[in-house]
Amino acid sequence: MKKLILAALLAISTTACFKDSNINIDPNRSTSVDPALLFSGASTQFSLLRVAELTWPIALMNQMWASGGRWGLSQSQYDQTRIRSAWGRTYTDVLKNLNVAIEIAQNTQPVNKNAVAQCKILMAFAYAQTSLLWGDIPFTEAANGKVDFPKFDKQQDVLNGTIALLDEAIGLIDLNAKGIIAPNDLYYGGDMAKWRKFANSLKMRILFSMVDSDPTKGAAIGQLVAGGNMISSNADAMLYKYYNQPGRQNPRFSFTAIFRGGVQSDWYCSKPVYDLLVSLKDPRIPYFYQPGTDAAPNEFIALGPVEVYTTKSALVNMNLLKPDLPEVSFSYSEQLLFEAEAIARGFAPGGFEAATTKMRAGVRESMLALGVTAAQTDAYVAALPALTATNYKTVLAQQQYLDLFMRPIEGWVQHRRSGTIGQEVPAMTTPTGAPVAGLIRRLLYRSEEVNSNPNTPSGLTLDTPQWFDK
Amino acid sequence: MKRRLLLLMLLGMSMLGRAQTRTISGKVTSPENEGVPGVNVLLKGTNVGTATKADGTYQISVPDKAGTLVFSFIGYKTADVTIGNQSTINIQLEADLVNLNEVVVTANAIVREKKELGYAVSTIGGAELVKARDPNVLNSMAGRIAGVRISQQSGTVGGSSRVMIRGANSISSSSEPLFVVDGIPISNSSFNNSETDVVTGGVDVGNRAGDLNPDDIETMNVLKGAAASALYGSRARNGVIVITTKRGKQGAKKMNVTVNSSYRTDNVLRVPELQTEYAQGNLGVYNPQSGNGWGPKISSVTGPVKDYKGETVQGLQAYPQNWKNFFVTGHTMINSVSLDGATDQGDYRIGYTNLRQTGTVPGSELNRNTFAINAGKKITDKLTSRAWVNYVRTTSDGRPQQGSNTTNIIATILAGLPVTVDINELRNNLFAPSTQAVPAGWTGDLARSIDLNGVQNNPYFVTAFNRFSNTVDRVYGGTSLSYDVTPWFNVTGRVGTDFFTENRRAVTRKGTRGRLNGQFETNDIFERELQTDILGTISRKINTNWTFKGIVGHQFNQRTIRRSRLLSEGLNIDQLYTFANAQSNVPSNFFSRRDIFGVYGDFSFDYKNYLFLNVTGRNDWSSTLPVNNNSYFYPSASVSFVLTEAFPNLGIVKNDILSYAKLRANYANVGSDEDPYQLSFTYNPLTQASDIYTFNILYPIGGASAFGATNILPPTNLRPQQQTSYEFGAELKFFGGRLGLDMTYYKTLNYDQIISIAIPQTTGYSARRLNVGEISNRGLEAMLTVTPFKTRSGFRWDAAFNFNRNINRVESLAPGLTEFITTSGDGFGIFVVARPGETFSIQGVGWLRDPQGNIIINPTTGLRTPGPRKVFGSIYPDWTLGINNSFSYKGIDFNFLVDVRKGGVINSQTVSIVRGSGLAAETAIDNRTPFIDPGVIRNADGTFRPNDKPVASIQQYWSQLDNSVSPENNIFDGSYTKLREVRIAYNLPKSWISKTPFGSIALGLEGRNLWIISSKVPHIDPEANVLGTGLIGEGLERGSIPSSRTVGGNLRFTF
Repeated sequence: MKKLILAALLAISTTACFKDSNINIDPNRSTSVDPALLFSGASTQFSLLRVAELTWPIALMNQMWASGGRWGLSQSQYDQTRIRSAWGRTYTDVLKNLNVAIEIAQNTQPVNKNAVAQCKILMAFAYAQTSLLWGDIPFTEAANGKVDFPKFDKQQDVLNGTIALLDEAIGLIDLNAKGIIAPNDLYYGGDMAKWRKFANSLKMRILFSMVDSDPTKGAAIGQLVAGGNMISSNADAMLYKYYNQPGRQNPRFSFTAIFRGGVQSDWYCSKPVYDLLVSLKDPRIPYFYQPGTDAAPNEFIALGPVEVYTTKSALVNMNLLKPDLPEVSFSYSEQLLFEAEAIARGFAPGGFEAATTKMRAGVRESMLALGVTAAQTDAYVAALPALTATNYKTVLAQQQYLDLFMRPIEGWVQHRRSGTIGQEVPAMTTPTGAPVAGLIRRLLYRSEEVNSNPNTPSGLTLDTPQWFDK
Repeated sequence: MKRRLLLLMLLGMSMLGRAQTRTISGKVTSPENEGVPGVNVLLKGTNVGTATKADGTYQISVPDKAGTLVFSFIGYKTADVTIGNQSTINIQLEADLVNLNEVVVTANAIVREKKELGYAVSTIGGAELVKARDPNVLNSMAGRIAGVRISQQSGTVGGSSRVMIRGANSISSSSEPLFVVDGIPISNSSFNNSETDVVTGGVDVGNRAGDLNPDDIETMNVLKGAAASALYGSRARNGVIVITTKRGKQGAKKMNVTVNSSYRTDNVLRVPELQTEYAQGNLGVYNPQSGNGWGPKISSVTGPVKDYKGETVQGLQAYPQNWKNFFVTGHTMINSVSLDGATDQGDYRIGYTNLRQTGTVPGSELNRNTFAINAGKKITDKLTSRAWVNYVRTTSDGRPQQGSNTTNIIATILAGLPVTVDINELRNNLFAPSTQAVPAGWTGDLARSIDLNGVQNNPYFVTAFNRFSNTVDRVYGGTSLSYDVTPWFNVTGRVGTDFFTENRRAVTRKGTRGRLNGQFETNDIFERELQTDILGTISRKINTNWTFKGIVGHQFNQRTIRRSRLLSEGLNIDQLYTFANAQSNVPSNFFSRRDIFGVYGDFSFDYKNYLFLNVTGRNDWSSTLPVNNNSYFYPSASVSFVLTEAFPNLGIVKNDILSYAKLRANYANVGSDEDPYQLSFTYNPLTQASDIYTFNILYPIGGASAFGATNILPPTNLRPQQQTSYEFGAELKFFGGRLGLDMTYYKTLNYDQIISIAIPQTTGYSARRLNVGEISNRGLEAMLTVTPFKTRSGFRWDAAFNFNRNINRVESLAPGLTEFITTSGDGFGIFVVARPGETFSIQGVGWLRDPQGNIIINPTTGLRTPGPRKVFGSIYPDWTLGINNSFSYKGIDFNFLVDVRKGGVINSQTVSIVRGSGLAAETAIDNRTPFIDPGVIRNADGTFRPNDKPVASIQQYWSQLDNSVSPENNIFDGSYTKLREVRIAYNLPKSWISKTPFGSIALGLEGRNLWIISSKVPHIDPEANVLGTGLIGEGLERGSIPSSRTVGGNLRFTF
């Protein structure tokens, strides 16, 4: 009897080893996926980081906006504890997923070349952005799960690498085939011609960030301008759209809506920018700002970086924080101003007269996009000084910085490259209470990376210039 | 215990039919002079015997005058009485402090004599649990059992309690013990096991072991080591709490009726001490809308001034009792009734308990109804059956949010309430005109809730409208059939299940600051555990010296979880919480299932009833491991040696100096599986994109859904996890039991743990899953019991000391890995970290210090400077001690329990906030005169000089000490001494009630969590922890609801 039971027990057990069982097949997740779904996730995450987590601290550090101490002054004093997830999420949620999507697209028959191209363009964008924030970053060994401790590539190599990525992507684009289309292509709805324009424009933006340190890039910029096929109208602009629906609103609006009941009271008018606008008699002041609640109409009181707000302090205009405003990754005005710079610096032909025309066109687009009236715009643009060998650096840099007023990531790059150290446009001074003597020139690597990756560079301070920053 | 008793009783009764010559009757009484039922009365040297009835009387027929009657009963000394000519023999039993024959329910409802066991077991009798009834039965264990640490996580009504036995066993998951009721494992989940669940506006929803009803519990045995794992499987490696529920008992009547009623009140034990001198503002300048105390002195604000509502008032006034006045007195009523009875053919018990509780947070409440049925039937002489079912329905409403990052957190709101705000005014004016600009088109209530500065909600608005409610319907129980094939071979089959559904809903009303459009989250959870056992038991005497007992069994265990959540945002109509009324609904669902097959054997040898040897072995097959590596075997061995029975003739034994001595040792190895679905590279459907702020982008956006590849690289060649442990122990009793010592030394090593190890995020992944890591616990448990005082008149003083020291150490991590972050206090720069060679510690940015350890001060500001990350201390205590004193005299029992914790650290966000906001009492000292912070300043040549730069303002000083700069000043020694419990119980003498229908009446008064005798943590109860029971880590407090001081009374009577 006992033996029988034992035998029965053993029989039950040993036959039930889950050999052909599907118990451990995950019902919550998939083992295969369409790359388009990975692409929409990567783009949404990337845009969110740009428009939210990376916006506020950088706008405050770079004195593009002022904090007024509403959330403490520490961010103006270069505290970057609020840039907490951007580093990691860029690699895990953006770059890794793009890598995986490329792999899947390449292993599908026929190979979806356009999808690969779209992923590569976004990837180049993300790598370039990350490098221009942090400096040397993992690139060649990054985001593929194959190397446990990715090495940090030199910024020069990363930026050159992104250009190579863009060239590969441009080479893959086939205008007669479909890639990732709407709704998953949240930027261009699958319009590959626009993707190619953006790829070329992005390439130019990256080259411009490099050219001060690597003058050979001037020729490459010239070739790009000559080749055309870049963003050539507002319809070509690279935008990630938000909607006035819960959970789909531009986070800049949500922040104010959630924390302040829809009443903007966090982001203030920063003195260096305000002073620049005043010096230029710029009509954009009431478009950039709104007066404080207790200030007179049209009374704009700016704040220094570590000044505490009062009810009279002017704020960033609520019209720039609307729920359905898109996140701008590349604008037409930005393109025109780059072209103006290319001509003015002699990378492209035409001389200062052509450069001035391009600049005026760029400023005009920039102001119209802001909602400035055509009359005011035209008057201001006409009054802009013609570019000359002596004034072009300053005049262009001023306009380029103002053009990027709501885009702190690009604005900070522009500011650092606008002049040699100490000669940036507009002029800024290190805020009281900052831990370094100079202006901030880089973000410091996150402790998660420092603690887990022995290859993380050390010994850098906030005011150590990056390679590009000459 | 009862089974054995029943057997003896049956035996005794069967003897009645024999040749009788005379009858002897009498009554057996206790030292308290009350009848003792169930005492064995046996004619010495024969099989003639009986048992006393419910009132303690007995009748026995004996052949002649010669002989001796032996009266024996557990807990009393056995008494021999020579019969002689007596026909009535009344006897008063003496309490036996040695308790040689104590029996213990161990694995799989198997009853063993305690002396057989080679491992440490502690028991709490059900009577202890119902004298002072805590709604969460786990709390009644606090301080009573060596090696077991119970920590109540918050003062939330129905809040959770963490149980840890002998330290943490895992680097990555919680080390909660297994709960087993009547042989069937039950769930202790809380579904609060992600950091976002508990840190970001989490609600303490309690843990499911809190559903256990104290009134239905006969005994709770705590098996502390892994020795019981053979029969329970790998989950027993963290220890097992074995609960046996009550069964029907044979009494004087066919049916016993027991009624037990308790009433208790709860008040908050401790709230922050606030300053009363300063108004809100900035750097001494009054600003009515600031949520702090950094304005001018209240006494200096005279004349017309605007108050926080924007109304003009004549001067300001301090309301120092705001915290205290916010909380209310909670009331708890527990009423239970049970009917039970038994015959020699079967037994039954039906119990019903109703619990109604209101919490200290206004509007929070909990109701629980428990039905318990347990019945056994002897079908034939060989076949017996039993079935038991418990149904528990728990509903709660208004549990408060804790943690951070939402505007609904009561403690955070209170911590930002200026002293000049009258909380009574907030209570009475939920809908006064708002001081804030509101979005266009908002009218009515929406525009009128009083708030402070557009950021903080009125706390009463939150408690009135933003409510969390849940309902749990739970059934657990089982059935068993047992067949005696031969007198020495028994086969038992058992099937049991535990399943529940829980429906949660958290609503946030339109107009709530931070969630202006309103939202609600619906969460449906279903969990089921099913277990079947078939086991054969052989019990044979091999020869006069040796007895063998063997168990062979098969077990199947299945656990399934189903969960669906729906987040609905943007309400069209205020307070209408339907999906169709939301502008956006984001659903998500989850399912998991895991199966385990196990075969096990348990073999014991008993030599002369004083040497016991036990070996066990078990093999499991788990569905969660790779198919080719899913089988694992684990053995254990233990030995127990009763010295005093082996050498009864030793001098000290004979003279009763050493009354009892048992030595025990055991070794066990336990293998275990891992969570389901961890083996493949997967793509997850995404519900949202997020960054560090709380407003996420929800999918689909612009019509696009999204997926993401896993962030955890799946493992290759996964092996089962392993634990090896051994323990040595001794149980010693001296002087007839007046002095007792039970101590254990143990060591546990966990290795091959299956962990997701963080890898650089630049790899594209945040973690890699693999077998790594070793973690060990070694420690000493000691329980010392003394009866310093005992008189013939019945007065008695007993003291018990429960001491536990556990040394937890992370032995190694993955090669090349220097640390493992288990839980990060996200947003506050605080991490719970495991590092090789150390225990789990709290780490964070510390102040920059010179080589001598002096804090380096910034020469321009006079403030401290944040430096590198450092270790602040262990999250676990160095040792804990429970001291229980009990005094009894003639039915009166007086008891008090003091609980001591030494060591470990705690980080408090509440302290950080009340200090940083200038509301804590210490921020107002010395009229806020700026002072020189002790420290040093770095000279240009790298040397240091004493700090000579005063801080610019006290506000800057305290703001710099905020958690977000460095947690160092908000980290405190977690040591405390608490008066945990005071209890007076009185059993009315039987003589008083003999004329009434009552069988017994007992009264009790109780107080729990009464007094923090000493603590080094300011402002809060040092026991608070935000992480609940599902996450590893302790010592992080985030806006916790203050714990309660409970006082109440109890009335228990039987018919």
